[in-house]
Amino acid sequence: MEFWISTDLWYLTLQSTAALLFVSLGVYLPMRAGVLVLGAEGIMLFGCFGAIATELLTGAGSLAGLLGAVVASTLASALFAAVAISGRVNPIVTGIALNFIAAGGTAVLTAVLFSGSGGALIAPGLAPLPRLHVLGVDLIPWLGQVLSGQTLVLYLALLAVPLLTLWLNRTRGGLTTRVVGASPSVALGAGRSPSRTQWLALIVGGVFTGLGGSQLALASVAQFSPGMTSGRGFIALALVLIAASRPWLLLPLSIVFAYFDTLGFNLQNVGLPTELSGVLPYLAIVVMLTVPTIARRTRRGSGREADVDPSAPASNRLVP
Amino acid sequence: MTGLRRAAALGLVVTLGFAVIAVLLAFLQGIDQIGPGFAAFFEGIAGSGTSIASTIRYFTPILLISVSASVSIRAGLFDVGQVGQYVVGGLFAAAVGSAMHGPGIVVATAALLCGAAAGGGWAWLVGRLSEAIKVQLVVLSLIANSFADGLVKFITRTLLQDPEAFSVVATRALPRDAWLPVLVPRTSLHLGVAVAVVIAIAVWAVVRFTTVGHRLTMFGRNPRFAAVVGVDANRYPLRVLLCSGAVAGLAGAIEVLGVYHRFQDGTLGGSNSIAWTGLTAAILIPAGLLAMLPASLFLAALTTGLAGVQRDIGITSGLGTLVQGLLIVIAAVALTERVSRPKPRKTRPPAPATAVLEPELRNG
Repeated sequence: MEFWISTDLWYLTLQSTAALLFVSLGVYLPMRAGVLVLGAEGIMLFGCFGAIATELLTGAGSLAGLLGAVVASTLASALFAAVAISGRVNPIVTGIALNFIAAGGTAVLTAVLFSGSGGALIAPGLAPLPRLHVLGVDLIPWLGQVLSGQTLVLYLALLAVPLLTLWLNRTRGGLTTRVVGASPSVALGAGRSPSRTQWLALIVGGVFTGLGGSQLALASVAQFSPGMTSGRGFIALALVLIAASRPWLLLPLSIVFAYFDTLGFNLQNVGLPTELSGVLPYLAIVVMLTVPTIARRTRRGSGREADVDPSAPASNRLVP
Repeated sequence: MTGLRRAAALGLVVTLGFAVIAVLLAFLQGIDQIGPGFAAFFEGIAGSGTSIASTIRYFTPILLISVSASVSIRAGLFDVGQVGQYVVGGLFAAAVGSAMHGPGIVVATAALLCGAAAGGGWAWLVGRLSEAIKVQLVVLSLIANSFADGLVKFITRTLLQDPEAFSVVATRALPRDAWLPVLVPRTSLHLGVAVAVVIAIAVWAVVRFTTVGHRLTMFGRNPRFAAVVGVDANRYPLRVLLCSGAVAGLAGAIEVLGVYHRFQDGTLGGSNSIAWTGLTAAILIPAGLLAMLPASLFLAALTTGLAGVQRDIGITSGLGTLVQGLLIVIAAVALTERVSRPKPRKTRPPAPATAVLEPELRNG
């Protein structure tokens, strides 16, 4: 029992929650504006690379790295917007292409800027993000040990969830975003430009994803390795689709996924094979995806017609 | 879109692809390296018997995956789970092939069929889940790719691990007489390429000339109309996924039987998987089937050509992935129909209904 609630395990869980939560927010906002960012994985990878590259090139420490991550991700997100929104290329195709460009581009840039062989970037001079100790929190028994010593990014993430929820539900800008997502023609009729709204959502989403990337690259050991995002962008997509019209749900969802992800790497301690680490988080995702459907079915009795989710964006179809 | 325009667009893509490689070479290694770089590029594709065989060896899985993806895209299903189907197919082929005893040809056939069945089954499961929980297939199949990777590693390690392979997660090797025969001695060119080409042409013929294929195209164009004329709209997409997944699974089985002779973690799946390249071909030409033959050959040549550049000039392997991504963007931009977009009006009454286009139409 002690293993499952140990402060070490939960400290690491929250550390990885921060990265996942920000990427989820970065996918969530454009989703509400009607754009599914399939390139989140690539945008995040650019963020991780931006963080480490900025630190190595400027030598200005971890906050410069954080800024570099945000700039890199925002640029990648802007590229996505330019092709998918302004160029009107299918966003799904654009997203897949962006993931290729990020995986290849970061490797090429590693080779060009740091004359490496396209492998990992790690140097003794790289500083991780400073660990914050908030006065008072340390004194709470279990929570104090888990929360104190986390990075600024985690606190920002915890703050961003309620702020984004309020903004989407209570402000004009939030309403415009939701209208654009639900029905672009209505927004157009009301004198709002859908493409402008989607551009803005993607830019802000890029900032969020960049913060997530900086957390991933700089939270524990500051380093960049190819493919280090390991599917987090795709996981974020799943979490966003589960959350649908309830952005606050992203917080518990990210914590659950991060817990199982962290758990996988620590299973050796309780005598389970480490290979479970590649299975457990995805099983958790499948369960999380399935539970709302089952809940909905039992609540509404039976009947398949009844459980169409009005908040689910777009359909599966690729229009030829 | 007319065939002429599409051909022009693809010519543009190939030309721009070369331009991108040239620019990257100049940027990475200096202007004077463009010549030797291209020499190494073509040397890598077809400079010797070994390199031709290598190009064809990559051509085989790319072709099968692209045909698989084309079939589901044609039915309007955006399934990007080919990597997962490919890996699962490879694992099952290796599991059956290394466990069975008997004449080589029987073992090989059984392994190939099991791989295909496993790939199809995986695709069906993912499709069924996507339908049940109403999550877009494109998202769920992306996640399923990572899941499949983790799952096959877990299964291999716990159930099928070769006790003599210490540091790698791999199954036992297949019996030598069950390997796909090598067509040209001392190269990696095996019988799989013939199987792949036959299947690609057979799928094209079925789609082009039979009612089965007509139903597929009709469902992709307009599922509501297809339902009216008697296609079961609930089950049909799953059946399509089963078939297209089987082709991807077969590709994995062929790789295992023809190249690796065992299933080893990391050889088929992951973010560098050749299956992503196959998916690229299908995305580049959304409605093509026979067109997959030249497209796959082009992408296979790109793969081995850039590997040649990497070997001779010393460029990172990321270059190939980068060029692929840029090619998709170029092709997608070139193939996107331009439609004038209505501008929002601030003070005037709402735009007339006819001027407002459905967003799906614009994004197509």
